[in-house]
Amino acid sequence: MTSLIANGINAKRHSTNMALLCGFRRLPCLQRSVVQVTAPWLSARAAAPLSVSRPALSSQLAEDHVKHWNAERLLTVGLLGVLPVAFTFPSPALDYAVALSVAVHSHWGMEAIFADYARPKRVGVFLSKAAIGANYFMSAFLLGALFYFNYTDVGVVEAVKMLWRA
Amino acid sequence: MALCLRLASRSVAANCSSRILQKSLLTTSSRSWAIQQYSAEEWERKNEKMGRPLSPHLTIYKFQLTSMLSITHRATGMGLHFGLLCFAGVMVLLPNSYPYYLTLLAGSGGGKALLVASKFIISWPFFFHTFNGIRHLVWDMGKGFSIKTLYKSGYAVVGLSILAALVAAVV
Repeated sequence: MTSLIANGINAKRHSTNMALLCGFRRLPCLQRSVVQVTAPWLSARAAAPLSVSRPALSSQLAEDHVKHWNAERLLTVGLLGVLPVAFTFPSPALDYAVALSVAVHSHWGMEAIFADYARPKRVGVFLSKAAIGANYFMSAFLLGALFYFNYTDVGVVEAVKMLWRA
Repeated sequence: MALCLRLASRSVAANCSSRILQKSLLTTSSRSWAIQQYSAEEWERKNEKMGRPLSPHLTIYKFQLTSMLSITHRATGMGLHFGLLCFAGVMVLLPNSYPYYLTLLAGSGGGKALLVASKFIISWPFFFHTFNGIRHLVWDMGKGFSIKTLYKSGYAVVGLSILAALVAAVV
């Protein structure tokens, strides 16, 4: 588990801008000047090293992605653990735990899908934001509907068992 | 602008240790370098305005196990999400309880074959997504990136998911 978190933190420190300058390694005197002369937009990006406060692309937001990434992996492991336990030892609490884990896991998954495909440059700023908003709405609805099912009906785990026994 | 470029290249040429490059810089510095200072966004907008076509990518790239499993992982995740969404939404809207509708569906009689088929169709995406998810977690720990291991684990995921779904379908 700690290696999972450690890799998430190390990914941020990895500097990809060095690949841009590697061709100029043999001519250190030219390293800055040629890049600045011929492609200033390139050199502006290469000048400052990557860090948590300076994202590599303008499309990446200023927020640190590491915490989110770690939370995603933690939830995935938790989901892997809670599912067999809920099926072996059924209880209302575990029903709600399964519902919550699944809803958050699939919300983050869909968020990644929308962020990857419904990009501002492709579908326009409004649609890209609307897609993320629609995802939040759908996930909230899913969570509420699953909780409603747990409360008023047999519960998610029992529902799957009944479907298999039918 | 051109003057700045010429001055810059002259000073660079003076400091440069490489004789050949120094010579070429000094001789070409008198020419005006047709270099336009674009920002990345301006460059993209210019291309759009000119109507330049995009190079083929998805249509020409070879289908490989790695990429196919990756997109299937995404597709199964999306499918499971929307399936659950439909189920939960329908259960909110319908007046009666789940056992009532289950006995209704079971009683309507599609036969054993339909029951087995539907159990397989429901469980395979779940098992594939779960097993490939474990494969992803192993990658997140930094392991299993050699081509051989990628393909081995990939085939294992496909095989195990089909096996698990078959077992679930007949249980």
